[in-house]
Amino acid sequence: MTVKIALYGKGGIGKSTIASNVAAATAAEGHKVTIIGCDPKGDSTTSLMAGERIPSVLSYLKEGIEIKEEDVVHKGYNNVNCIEVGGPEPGIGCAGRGIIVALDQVTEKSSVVQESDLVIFDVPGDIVCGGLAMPVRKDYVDMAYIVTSGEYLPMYAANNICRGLKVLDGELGGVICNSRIDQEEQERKIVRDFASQLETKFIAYVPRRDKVQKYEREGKTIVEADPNHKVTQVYQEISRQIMNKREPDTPKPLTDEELRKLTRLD
Amino acid sequence: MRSDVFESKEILHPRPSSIVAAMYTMRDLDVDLIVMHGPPGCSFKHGRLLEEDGVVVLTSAMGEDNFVFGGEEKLVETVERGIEKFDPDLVGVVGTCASMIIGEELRSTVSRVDSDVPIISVDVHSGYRDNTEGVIMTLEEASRMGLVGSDELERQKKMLEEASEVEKRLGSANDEYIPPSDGDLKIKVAKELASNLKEDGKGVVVLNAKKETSYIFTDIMLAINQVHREVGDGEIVNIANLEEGRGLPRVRQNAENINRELKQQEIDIDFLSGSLDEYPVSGERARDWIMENHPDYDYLVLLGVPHAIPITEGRIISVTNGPRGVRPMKQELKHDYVAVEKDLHTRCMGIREIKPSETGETLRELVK
Repeated sequence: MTVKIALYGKGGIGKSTIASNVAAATAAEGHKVTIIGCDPKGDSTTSLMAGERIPSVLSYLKEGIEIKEEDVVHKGYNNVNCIEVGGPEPGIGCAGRGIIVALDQVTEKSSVVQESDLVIFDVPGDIVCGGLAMPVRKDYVDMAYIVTSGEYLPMYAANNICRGLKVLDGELGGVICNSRIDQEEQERKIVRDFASQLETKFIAYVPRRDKVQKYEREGKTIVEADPNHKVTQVYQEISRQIMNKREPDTPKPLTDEELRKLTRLD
Repeated sequence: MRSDVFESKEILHPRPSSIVAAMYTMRDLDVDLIVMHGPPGCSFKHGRLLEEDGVVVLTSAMGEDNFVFGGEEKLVETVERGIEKFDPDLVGVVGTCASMIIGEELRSTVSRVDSDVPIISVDVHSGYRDNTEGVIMTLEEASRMGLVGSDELERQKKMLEEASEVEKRLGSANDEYIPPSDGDLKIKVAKELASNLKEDGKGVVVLNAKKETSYIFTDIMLAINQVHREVGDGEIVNIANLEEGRGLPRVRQNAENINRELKQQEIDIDFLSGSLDEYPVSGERARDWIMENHPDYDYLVLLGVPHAIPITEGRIISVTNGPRGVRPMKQELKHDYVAVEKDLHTRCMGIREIKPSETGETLRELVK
């Protein structure tokens, strides 16, 4: 059975880092993994591709070239299938529509999604339009996972995503905390409480470590570069939880007042 | 204050859009070439009709690739190609839902066109409640370019507001389902007209037509007057919104053409109620003039946009081109007979002289 998930969260919160590390950790366990980057920048998979950018699905379609699986599915670290949707230049066209077209093409031309044990959709930003919500809406994914820090704005975005999921009848796998502030314990508690109030699972707390960025600059995930690192172990734990999670949650979004109260640092 | 940007639209019937309205306005401004920035199927029927009216209509033919990556380059190419092939004096570019939703900006795009031909660009889509929005947007752009004076712009806006109100009250911009109807049989209406004409009574014929539709509706007025000369016993009073010297170039030309023909046919208009773009208010003026000068009329014949003539008293025979106008005219305005000149708009494209109407021809045939 294929586990199909999407990672949502505020732009810049670290979704792509988590997606590629979880993909690497899951593949290391012997699973077949596919990661589909839905950001027009096409940079979700670079850490799995030794820093190389792969040609996107839409770059072929833009040139009028009929895509073949080998054009758009690239083998990355530990044989992770890497696909980038791509998209228009900033400020032009419609990236959301691009996701719709590209995913339709990928599923028509390639069987990697069906053949994988885990498929991760790395979706840009919050759910802002029908196109970006498309992985959830068209049942490409079974569950969405939300990535947030303990800061107010990322949590506000996360809460909004939960509202979006509710509207779209989407289901939630849980909340992953990607640390952004110095008070680690407090941040962990904030996001854990947030998950609890959303009535979903707190999946893990990913500590902030400079090494993660250092390896990314070298075109690697920390899972690949330092398999015994503490952060790698966290990604392994996230992978296990995702692969074992069978029953999704229906999130119960918070009011803004509840959210502000929750994010207040002592 | 409540914003009307996202106003709810309680319209049940598909109807001509703001895009189409913008294109017809461009035609009235004597635009020779219109390029639609959107998918090739968008507004194709009206595109064809406009071509019959002498305007070349092209499309940038946006496809899935343009929805995703934008289509501004394609638009520039299409405009340049059109200018090269058709050598227009004035070009119009209209948006569509697809191009507007993905955020294309027409004015800055057409500024990249390699040509000195003036281009009116209108960022319009078809989601506006009132399709007159497309007209206003076009006129505002034309005014900005100095093609329309500010007084004319304000007059047009006023007329369009009135037109929207008329359509909301009894036209197709209605939130209740109104079934289309063919109206009364032409022979039945012609018999009624002939019968009234033969009697020693006073009939008032009111032409309250919208722009080019006047070429066909005027034929009914013409037929009534011709038959009256042959067999009529009473008096006929003619009212028409055929005032010259107001409106956009094409609209003025239409009034001049029709008046010339009516003069040749020796038909006198007793009262000019307004110009051909003033049908939303000229009906009221006609009513006031009738009440002041001929309150003793025996029957009325209302032609064009009869539901904009607020009279419900007396015997009323009306002729419209709106199949959905029949029921409200009969039920709410108490018109005794309502005939529909079907597909009239299609039939009056490309003509510059009075064209036979079904109702007029039936009447002529009946009294032969």
